[in-house]
Amino acid sequence: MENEIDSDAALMLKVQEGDFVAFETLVDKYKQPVINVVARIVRDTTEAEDLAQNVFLQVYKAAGRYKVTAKFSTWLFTIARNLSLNELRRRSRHPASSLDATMDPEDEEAPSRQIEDQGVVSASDEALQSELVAKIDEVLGELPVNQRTAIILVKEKGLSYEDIAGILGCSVSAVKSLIHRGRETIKSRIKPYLVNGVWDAPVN
Amino acid sequence: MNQDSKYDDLLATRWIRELRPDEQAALERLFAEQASYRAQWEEDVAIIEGVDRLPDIPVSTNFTSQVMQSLARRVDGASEKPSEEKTIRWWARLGFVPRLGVGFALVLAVFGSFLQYKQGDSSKMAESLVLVTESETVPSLEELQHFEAIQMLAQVPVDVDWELITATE
Repeated sequence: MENEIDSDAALMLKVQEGDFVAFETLVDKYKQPVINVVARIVRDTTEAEDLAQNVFLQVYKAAGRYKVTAKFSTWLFTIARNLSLNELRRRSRHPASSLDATMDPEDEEAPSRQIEDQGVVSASDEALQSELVAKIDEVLGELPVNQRTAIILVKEKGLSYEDIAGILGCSVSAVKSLIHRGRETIKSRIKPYLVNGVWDAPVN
Repeated sequence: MNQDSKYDDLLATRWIRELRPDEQAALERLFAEQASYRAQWEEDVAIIEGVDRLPDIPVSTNFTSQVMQSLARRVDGASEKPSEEKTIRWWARLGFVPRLGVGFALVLAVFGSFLQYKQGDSSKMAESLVLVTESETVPSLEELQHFEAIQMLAQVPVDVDWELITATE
């Protein structure tokens, strides 16, 4: 992991000198985690790529300000989070483009889905697991943005609580608290589904 | 450290990574002390594993090349601007006295050009006057005495005398 950090920092030093190849290597390495984080913060898979592109362009633009002492992934995810929050703010000013509409198209079909869920009880473990993952993804999208971001970042292996605190701009205990509250919400929503196979649509 | 905070610490660690053997042993001790922790742990770990298994968002195969193309366009765009920026930077770097000197030289140059233009204009006008006065096509004074009568003739409507024309032919 330490070597990985060093290699990222070394690449960034080359980027600072205008090395396109080094930058391309970083884009290739981090495109998937950045798109995962951005898409789950803004809850829009279609816009996620454009946003992720902007994240990397911003990284290149701000490369001169990168200090080698900072962990590259922390710096990168801070930019990703900031741009995602800007996008959410922009959308809240223009509510015509609904966030829920893109990530959660099944909401209007909640009754039919309940019937489908009851059938899943007899399905294989694998199918049940993937259903559970889908439900977790759904509840994750309903969490307040800070809780959601903290959980998405903790999913990115290699980031410590200190790193996540740096990205979110809060203390380590605040990060743990955000994750704890997010987990409790997920648990309270998932539990009835696991016990009865019934899925309650979120209360808006 | 009470049992709840021990549990929370172990769970916080489990979010980040798998527990090490010593941590796993601490967890087992916690289960032994309070059995209800076991069920709670299983629920919490199910969520952690569910979050871990969240699928990757699909990425275009040409994502990296798209980023690099956008970057190349921006870099090209930026390299076209510097001439203007360089001029501004060059001006900003000059001290007050050199700036005053450059400004004075510019004003002198503009004033000089204006004077030269005016001078050239006057001499051209004088040359034209000489040309007009020396022209031989100006009619004599006698011719000019009948000028008004000739001009009046041009205004009288005249019918075409076809008989006269035919006779003269």
